[in-house]
Amino acid sequence: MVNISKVESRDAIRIVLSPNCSITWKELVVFYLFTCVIATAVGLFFSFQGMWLVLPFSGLEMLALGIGLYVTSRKVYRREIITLDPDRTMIEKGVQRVDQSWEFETPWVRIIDEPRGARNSSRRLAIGMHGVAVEVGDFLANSEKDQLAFKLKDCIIRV
Amino acid sequence: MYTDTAHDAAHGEHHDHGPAKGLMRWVTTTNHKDIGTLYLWLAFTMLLYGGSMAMIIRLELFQPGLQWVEPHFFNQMTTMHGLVMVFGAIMPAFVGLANWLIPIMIGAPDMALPRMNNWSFWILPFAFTILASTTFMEGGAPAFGWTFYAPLSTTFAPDTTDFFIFAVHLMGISSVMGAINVIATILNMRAPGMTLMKMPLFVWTWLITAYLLIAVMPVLAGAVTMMLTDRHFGTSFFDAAGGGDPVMFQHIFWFFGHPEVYIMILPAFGVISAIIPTFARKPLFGYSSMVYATASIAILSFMVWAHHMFTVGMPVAGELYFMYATILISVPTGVKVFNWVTTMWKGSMTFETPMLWALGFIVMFTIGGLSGLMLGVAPVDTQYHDTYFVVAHFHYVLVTGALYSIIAAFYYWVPKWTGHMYDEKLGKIHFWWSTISVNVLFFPQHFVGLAGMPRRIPDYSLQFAEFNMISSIGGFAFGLAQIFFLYIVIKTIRGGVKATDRVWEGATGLEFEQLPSPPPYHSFTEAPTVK
Repeated sequence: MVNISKVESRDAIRIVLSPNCSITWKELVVFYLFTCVIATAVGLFFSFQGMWLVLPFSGLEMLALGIGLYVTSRKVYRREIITLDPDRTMIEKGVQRVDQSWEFETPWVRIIDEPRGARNSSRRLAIGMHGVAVEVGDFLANSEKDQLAFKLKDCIIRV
Repeated sequence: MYTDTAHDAAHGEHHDHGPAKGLMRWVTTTNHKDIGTLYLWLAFTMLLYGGSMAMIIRLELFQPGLQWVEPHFFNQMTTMHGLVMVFGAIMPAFVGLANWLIPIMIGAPDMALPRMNNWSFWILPFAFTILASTTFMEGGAPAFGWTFYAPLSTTFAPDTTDFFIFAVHLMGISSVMGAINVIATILNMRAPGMTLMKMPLFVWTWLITAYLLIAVMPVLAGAVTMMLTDRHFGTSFFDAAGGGDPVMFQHIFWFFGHPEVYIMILPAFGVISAIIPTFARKPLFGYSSMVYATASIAILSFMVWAHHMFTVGMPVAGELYFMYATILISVPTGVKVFNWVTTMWKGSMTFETPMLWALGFIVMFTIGGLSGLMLGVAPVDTQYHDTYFVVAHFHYVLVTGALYSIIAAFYYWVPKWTGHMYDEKLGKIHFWWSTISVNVLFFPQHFVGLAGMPRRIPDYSLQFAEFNMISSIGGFAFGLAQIFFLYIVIKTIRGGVKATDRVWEGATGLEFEQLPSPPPYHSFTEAPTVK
């Protein structure tokens, strides 16, 4: 998903890139906790009957489910935020918090758009300056990369 | 503000290339279509393997007296037949369908955890090899019934039972990994606009099935582990002499086992809910009620387990509770049958092969459901318990129910998968051949059961001879029909009339409306439009 907005109170444009995701983090956590309650209830029910060996398996399984959902959500909840103003272009990447960030001088920024992969099936879109480049939107489809490249160039001209 | 959508990305970048070449493609693949195909082939192999054991059973029962096999070997056959068909044929077939269909139905590029998907498949051949190898070991294969009741499976079981326990653990791990993958895929990777209440019923039924699997698999794992510790580590979970309770094993088994029945039938409801509207050329009647009925069946399935144990001597209050709770399940199940019939009502119906199998499902699954209702009545069950009436009941549910839906699904989606239409004439022959023979096989078992013939015996009273002979003839014919099916499958894969992208005039859904036949190796690398 590509979302472009004007930053309030600043002469800047912000582009937020995120993969498609069909459930919010909060809903996912509620789902997981509900599942844990069910699994624990079943495990405890049998433990009270003396069959306590069900409980560790319930725990292991909930751990596996948690890891599975967490790994998937790490992929779908990542965000890339590109903030452009007349002086600086900032790129921030992370999941729920900024894990990595880069800053370039907007007048020198270059958009790199080059083919990649078998039979040039994919594309690399990057923002860079003076030999340093940061890939953006690697999770986007080619058509979205087209639109993003166009919007980036347009934004750089406008700011 | 400009807003647009781009598809994820659980995979990062797009690969337009096709599959790798050679055998290693299948070993290392993480593609949902490849893994779906592997699951379906494994299920077919297991169907033939489990079916061959059924042939041995029916051969022995063709006439009264011991004819072909020793009683102990007969018990091994009934046990292995049940285990292989439940865990090796029906469940993997539905997981195969899930792998093939869920991503292309919800507009996802693949399953959420593709590497785990590969693992969850490749564990299974090893599990079944371990299980099957016990047949050739000293002591033989498990012979205590697929329900492996203690103390038969603990105190009196051969050493090979440890291999059985290990195999069950592996199957459980595979099922849990598959269920986690299905849940993560459906929750996280639906295309924009594909809300929960827009999902095809097959996806809904699988989401609920995956949840059931998550809920009950630890119970199975705990049960077999307690068997192991009772056998080797001096515990007495199920040994009355040590303060344990063998009846508790039955409770724990059926707490897993009854939801397991719904694990094997809920995805079938999803398949039928896809096929009936297509060939009736009408939208599914009561979509939301179908979703709620599926969820209700799943919830109720946790509350009825002891109807399998009415004869163990539980208090009358307990019998009454489990009886009424069991009968209550007929309400949401009835909603489903009503909705399918109402979907067909005044529809512009045609009867291509998938529709025939779906109609066969509705009629014969309902027969199985009604006999289940009879078995749910506690005072009546006292007479029916452990008779061939029970065998007839669950085969109507699992063969003419679950298996019929899997075959219906094959005929319905194989043109989409392969790009080739199957041979309609052969498909119809397969249907009528199977339907006549399966009724010759299982319907007489109601009569011998009501007359008192116990299940799991190699010999029987002379009064049951005719019905058993008829039943065996039906069994052989049904077995042959599935060999014929194998021929149809191979013929369709190898070639045939080119299928159109929509395949069926009345077909709806992303897989028919937005993907070609066959779909590309990597489909929906860009998000589809969901209306």
